[in-house]
Amino acid sequence: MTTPASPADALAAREKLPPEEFRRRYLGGDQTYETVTAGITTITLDHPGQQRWLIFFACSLALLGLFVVSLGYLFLAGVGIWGNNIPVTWGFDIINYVWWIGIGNAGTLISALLLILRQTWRNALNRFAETMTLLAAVCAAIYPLIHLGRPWYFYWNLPYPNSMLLWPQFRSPLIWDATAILVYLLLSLMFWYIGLLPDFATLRDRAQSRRKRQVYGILALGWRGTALHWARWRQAYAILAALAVPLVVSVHSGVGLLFAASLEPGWHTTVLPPFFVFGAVFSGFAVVSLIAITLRQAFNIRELVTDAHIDLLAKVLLGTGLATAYGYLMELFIAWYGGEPFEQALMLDRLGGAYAWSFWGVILCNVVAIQPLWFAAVRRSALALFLISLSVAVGMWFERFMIIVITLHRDFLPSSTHFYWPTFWDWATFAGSVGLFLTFMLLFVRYLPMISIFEVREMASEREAKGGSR
Amino acid sequence: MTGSAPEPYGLVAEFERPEDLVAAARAARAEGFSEIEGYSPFVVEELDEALGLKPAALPVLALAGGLLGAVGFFLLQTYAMVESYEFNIGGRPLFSWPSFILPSFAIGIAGAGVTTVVGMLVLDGLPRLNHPIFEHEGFQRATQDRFFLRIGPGHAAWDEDQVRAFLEAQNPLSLRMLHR
Repeated sequence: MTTPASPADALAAREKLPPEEFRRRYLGGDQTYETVTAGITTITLDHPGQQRWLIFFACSLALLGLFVVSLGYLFLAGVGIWGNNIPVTWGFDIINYVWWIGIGNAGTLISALLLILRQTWRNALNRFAETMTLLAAVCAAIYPLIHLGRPWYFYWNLPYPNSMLLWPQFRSPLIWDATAILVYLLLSLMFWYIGLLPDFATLRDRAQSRRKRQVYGILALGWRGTALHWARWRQAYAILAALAVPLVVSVHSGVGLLFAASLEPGWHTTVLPPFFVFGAVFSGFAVVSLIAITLRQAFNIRELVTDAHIDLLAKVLLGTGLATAYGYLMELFIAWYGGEPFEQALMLDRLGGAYAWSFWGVILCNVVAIQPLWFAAVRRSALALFLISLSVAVGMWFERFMIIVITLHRDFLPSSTHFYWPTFWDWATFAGSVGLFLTFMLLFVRYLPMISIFEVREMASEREAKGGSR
Repeated sequence: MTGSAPEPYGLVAEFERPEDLVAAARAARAEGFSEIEGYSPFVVEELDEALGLKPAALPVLALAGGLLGAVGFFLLQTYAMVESYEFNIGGRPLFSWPSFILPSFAIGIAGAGVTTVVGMLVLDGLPRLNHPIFEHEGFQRATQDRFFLRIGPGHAAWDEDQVRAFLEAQNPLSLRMLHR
């Protein structure tokens, strides 16, 4: 009976790499099960970098406080404190909603799509990417609730037995979107938790203090790691991944349909749903890169988030950026080719009108800025990728502004023209939502394993290889 | 406590490498032991095949949950828009089934997801914070860097010496007897 190959060697064979090259690329060299486990759990159990973390946490708490104040004043005084007007009925509220939910989608794709495609490089990234998804989806979901004129009636959007015998209007993309966001939040939470379950068990077994053992023990639900547990876990994880990928496409297509199903010039075009999906993946991968590089730097985990990971993130960024650029091109082309006067007027407005800075900002930050990624030297530089990702995140915000405000501020009738400028409370709410995101992200980094311990462990070996293959 | 002997839960062998665990599991199955359980800190794909495990319930449950959710929500929307709350919105037909597809799809996915997760937890018997295996002093390493194999009594008579001899032949790092 032949001795079976180790799981790490099987993974290397699947990637068609020799084992040493596989370890060098994705583990930064030789790592044992113990070094992988210790490297990640020490951040959670021993809290290194306490001072720095506290400073950042204090700043994000301040922003969260600003958020609470902004929402409080909003509920007190009404939506009039924002810059929304007629006809620009959607301003920062929907711009930021689409921006946040776009960012959220990439985490699911990294985790779910790359799992289905059997890409091992996702193992070091998927945990914080999934967390980013969850938090970004929460930040996104807040906006449709608060932008209502009477936000305390938000639940009227859901089908529940009521004394008025009313139902939500299921033919509306707004209701499709409400359903999709709720399902997305639920599925992201379940996917995240199931992925964390074995790691909670590791933390339970490594924790020194009794209280930590109890907390992580409860969260681990008594996970024992039997073969049957793992077999079912793998099935459940694969099923959730297979469900998550079409859900991402349908959620963001639904967001695109919020615009495409209307009649507004610049919105009423079939390219919008797939174009929004590409844009979402683009912006999401940019933010994942930002988080990956920040964590790598802050906790010195270069051997877990290696240069190979940075390179692959850069490649995906370039690919999705080019797809988004194709979308911009097609919109312009179809407006010219279709000959529809209002759509053509809109495109000219985008190029040279009052808000042309948003369009050219998009071209600069989304199309021009990613071109250096064609070169391998730029792709491998974490600093370059950080700056480019920052530019993309800002550029995608400009894109949402361009799509929403330029279309709305000048409608079909000459009387339907009014400029839009954000107020202080628009900015405050936006900054506050960033504070909400950062606060919980920092809490996660401190108390939960930010890298999937058992999935990276699978790539290691039981002891240091003594020069060359085992 | 009465004078009766505590019930044996099994002999647990500890290994350093996943390959050793898989080899021992195969040998145990070939030897004819009925209650064999393997423990690992990460997925070891060959272990399922070595132990003859073929769990098949979850995909079926997921499909059932998904279909139930999707069809159910589609019917809900149909009832709502056609029967209960008829409303002429821009001349669209009452039974505007293309509109109903997207939310039904989303709810179907939600149904499949919830069924999968709940199904996995129920089938695994989790949450279960107390379990005889946790009496093993070294078991913390099962979630870190060690692999364990437990051979229990099953439905045959428990012959500790035979099991001990077999497991010792697999060269484990340690061998411990556990009781319920």
